[in-house]
Amino acid sequence: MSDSTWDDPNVTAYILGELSNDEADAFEQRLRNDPQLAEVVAEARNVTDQLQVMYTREPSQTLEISRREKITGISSPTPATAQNTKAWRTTLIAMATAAALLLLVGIPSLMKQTTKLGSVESAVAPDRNEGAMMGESPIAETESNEFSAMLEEDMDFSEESADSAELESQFDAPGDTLGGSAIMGESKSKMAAPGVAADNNPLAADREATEAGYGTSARQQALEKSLAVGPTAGSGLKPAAMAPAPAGPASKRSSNAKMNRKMLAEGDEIGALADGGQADPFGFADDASDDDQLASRDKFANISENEYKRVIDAPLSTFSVDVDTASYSKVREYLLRQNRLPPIDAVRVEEMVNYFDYEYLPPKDDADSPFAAETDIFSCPWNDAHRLARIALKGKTMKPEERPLSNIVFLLDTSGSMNSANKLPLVKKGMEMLLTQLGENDRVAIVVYAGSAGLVLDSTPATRKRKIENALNSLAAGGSTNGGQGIELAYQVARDNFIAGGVNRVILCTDGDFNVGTTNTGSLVRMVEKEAAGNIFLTVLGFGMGNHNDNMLEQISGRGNGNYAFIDTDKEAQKVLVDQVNGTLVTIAKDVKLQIEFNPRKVAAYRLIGYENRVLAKEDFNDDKKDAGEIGAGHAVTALYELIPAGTEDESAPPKVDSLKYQSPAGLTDAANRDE
Amino acid sequence: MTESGSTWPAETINALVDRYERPLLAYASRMLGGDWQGAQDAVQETFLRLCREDRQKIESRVAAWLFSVCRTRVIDMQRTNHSTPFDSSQIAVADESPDASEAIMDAEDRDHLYDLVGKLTNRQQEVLRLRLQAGLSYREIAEVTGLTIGNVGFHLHAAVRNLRDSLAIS
Repeated sequence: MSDSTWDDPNVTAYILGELSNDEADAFEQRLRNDPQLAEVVAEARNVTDQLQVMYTREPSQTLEISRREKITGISSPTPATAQNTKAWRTTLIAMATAAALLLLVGIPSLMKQTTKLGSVESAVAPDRNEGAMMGESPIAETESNEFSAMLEEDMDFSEESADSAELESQFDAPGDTLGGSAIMGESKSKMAAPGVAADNNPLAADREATEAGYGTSARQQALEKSLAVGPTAGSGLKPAAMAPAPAGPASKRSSNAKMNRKMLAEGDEIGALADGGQADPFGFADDASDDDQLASRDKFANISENEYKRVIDAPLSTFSVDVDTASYSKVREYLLRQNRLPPIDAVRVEEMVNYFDYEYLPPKDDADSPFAAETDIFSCPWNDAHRLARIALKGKTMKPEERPLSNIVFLLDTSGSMNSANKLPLVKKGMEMLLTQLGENDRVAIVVYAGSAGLVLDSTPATRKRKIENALNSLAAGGSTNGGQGIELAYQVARDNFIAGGVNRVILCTDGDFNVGTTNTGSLVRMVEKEAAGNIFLTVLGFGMGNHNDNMLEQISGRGNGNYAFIDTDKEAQKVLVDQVNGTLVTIAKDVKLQIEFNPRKVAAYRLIGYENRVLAKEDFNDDKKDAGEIGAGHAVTALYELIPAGTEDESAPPKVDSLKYQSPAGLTDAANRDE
Repeated sequence: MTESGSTWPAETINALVDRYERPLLAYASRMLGGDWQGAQDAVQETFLRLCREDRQKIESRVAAWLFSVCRTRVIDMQRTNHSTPFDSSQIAVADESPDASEAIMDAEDRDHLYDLVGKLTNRQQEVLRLRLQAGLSYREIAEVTGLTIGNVGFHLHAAVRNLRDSLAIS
């Protein structure tokens, strides 16, 4: 490399985005004609990327509390707003853990009947003075166990790992169970649907007291409630973490709650568990958007929450399922290691929910369909008048010896940006873990891509561990990334060693920084789609923070009939590559779509929680050309709907559409009235 | 504009402290050779001055203003320190305590680059930090350090180049 090329300070200025538009254009012109310059730019970019990571990771301090109070004391006559960011951060982590636990435990245990609230009281009451008087009254039985939700499955699988397996759940369950709750109301001469909630929830009084005392916003009621549910669910939340911060001026707090709502990633109400939990103690401590500019070039696609739909206007809800879990570990990484709130768009609620194992029962070995389905209705923890419907699918499990022959091609990103402890070394560790799961009939190849793509290990039986480990150990990070070329080569190798009827899969391990060559997401996606049609699937494992292109990775794994996980620790690698290896490798159903019909007699409006980018038109359900999500062996999928029961007036429901002039409204079928 | 237009609302100050306290502390701490208490003093003083400053005058360039005030403050402190007799009780011990698991995971590769950065000239280290940690533009860095914009670009590029060379060797 010529040193004179390195003499130009514009190289660095270009990378740092300091050139004016004209200058940048001119520079790019030179870049195209001068490969040497391109190399210099790539090397320099590698350096700045590493520096960026280094500075982000550098242990950072905040001002001491007393100092901060001095500053805020000057700027405002009411020092009540002085805050200690550090303490909050700790609380935040506690909250996040709590929220995660809530997701984990809260849902199943909400569905069990008769949980005493005693523990809630002891945990919460000290900070809520006389509020929590309702401690000894049990949560009224949730309806779920009383009424077996009828799930009519109309499954049609030509073979077990049928292509295009479609699961049509003619799902009247919401109608059922809600109908059920109405019945319950009658038979026990208690509880009509809206009433149930109030009765159901002994915390109502508690919250009212709190409201009176603090003048909290409605938002915070929800939060306090969700906090209160925590210990009920047995999450062992520490009281300290739950205690509301000393009350500031009421108006201030509510506006903060709103602000947090906005900046906090959840986007979704199930997230309100986490969201609410954080909103209070975190207050106005942090400005996530500012932080984002500072530290990270991570890219996320925009997520906008699903709206409520009226059952009358749209009785069918159709979406594609899949069991990516990347979002959860990603958020965990943000909260625990970076001490920051994740960007809103980093949070895909369905991935948070699907991350955890709810111990759904798999289908029996002799069952016709590869899925077991389960449905439930239970009260909605953040809105008494609403209900949550849970729809769960569990794919059949597979013993290791049943797993078909596997032809696996690892595609490893060894570009300079992978050069950090939580990236390439973790990739190697993960691969070693996976190797222990593979047998003599499985084949492994390794393709790397950096400045140029190369085949490090041609397809080798997995039993030749020494050879594979040597290849792994020879890997080192350096150079820039050409994702496009590497992926072509990987598919090539996979095709050459194709095992008919077996598992043919490319596993891409990257931090997602495709910065040279075909970086166009569209063309990558097309290639991945084409190969998926040829039965070579793609799994994406994301590593590391800093310049993670979440959007692209989720897209290509979705189109490549694969799954997408984000690996931040050894434990996560263990989970994805060892504990759930069958789910990761073996797809039991392709293009799984779910369609759910709601009964307008029972449900006024519904809202799908999460799956924002997976909503399909109702016609797509029967259109086998429409790509949809995949389910691996043993995978479980949970979808949650928030329902507004019929007869409830609710401002969150969308306004009615004027009735049609030229058509009469479709009437209800008899079935609608039969509560089935 | 009225009088009230030039003062700072508490929320704004809070937001600014949240936004800048970490990079400012890191910057000051580095310039003071790891003197953590000194850095806290300097940053506190910087924010206190900000509160007294006319908001309209500096609002448009608040980042550069904060760093240059902090820088001046640090340089003043260094001068005073030199003239005071040595007092061991005044020597602050840096308390950089990341959580243990993180420290182990990151220590190896971060330390290496960290060491390399430590071998750069002070000037280069300063501009690197201002650009990549504090996120200041070349123009803002020029304002803080008193260099010309071209000079800032030159130092940054030299720093990147040096690091690339030493990374290639190691």
